[in-house]
Amino acid sequence: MNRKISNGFKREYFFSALKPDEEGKNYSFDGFEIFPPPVSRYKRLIRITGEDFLRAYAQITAEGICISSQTSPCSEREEVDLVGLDFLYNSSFITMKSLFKTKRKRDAEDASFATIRITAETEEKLNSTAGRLNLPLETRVELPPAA
Amino acid sequence: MPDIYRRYYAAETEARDLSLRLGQFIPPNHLPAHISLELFRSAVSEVEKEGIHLLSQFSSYLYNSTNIVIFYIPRLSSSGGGALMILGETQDKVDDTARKLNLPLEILASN
Repeated sequence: MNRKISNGFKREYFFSALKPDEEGKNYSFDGFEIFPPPVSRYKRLIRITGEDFLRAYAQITAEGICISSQTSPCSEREEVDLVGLDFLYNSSFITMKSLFKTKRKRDAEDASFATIRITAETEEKLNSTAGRLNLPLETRVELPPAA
Repeated sequence: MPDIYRRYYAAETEARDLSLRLGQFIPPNHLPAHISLELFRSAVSEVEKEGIHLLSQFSSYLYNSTNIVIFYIPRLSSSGGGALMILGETQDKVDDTARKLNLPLEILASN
């Protein structure tokens, strides 16, 4: 019997994909910094690699049900777009957000950074969905200390 | 990509007018099934109480492994009227949610 997570409990995982810079040294993009999440809402905030994100992205878009998509121009001057995709997957709700620095590019691997949020009704379902997507439950990439 | 399964319900208002307002969400040739205002309010109350509010969307919930979106039409909001859409990964899941909310199954969404 699955244990119902009541409204007062955290019932979501929130992942932020990090991509190294061109020299492969510093992780210059972090969705948690761009969109600070309300920490109290989430069971876990997890930093993942760009490879983790791309693998999960491909799986969700192939197997999930797309509920809605939105594109919001963040800055016309810099030509930055925020693309949001909502899915039903494995009885969970998944929201993916990607920030693109140029309007010409739309492939996931061109995103400057990306986040995945999983919402489920039970802790078992939450873990099941993260597991099916091979997403780690502990932060895999640590940010360098602030200069 | 797998198919999406849906059911739509509208309380009180003219279905065709409502479908125009919800046009971006409802495929062509699909109109909401009419339900009573009382039934609509009861379903909304249950979803708000037991569902998980999805942070990024104003009236979107995860309930019984399905996504429920509630629409309040400004013209009808004072009377508590509006519409409700159930989205799911299978028809069985959508129908099960409709049953849990005491919403009718015999009226097809395409009616």
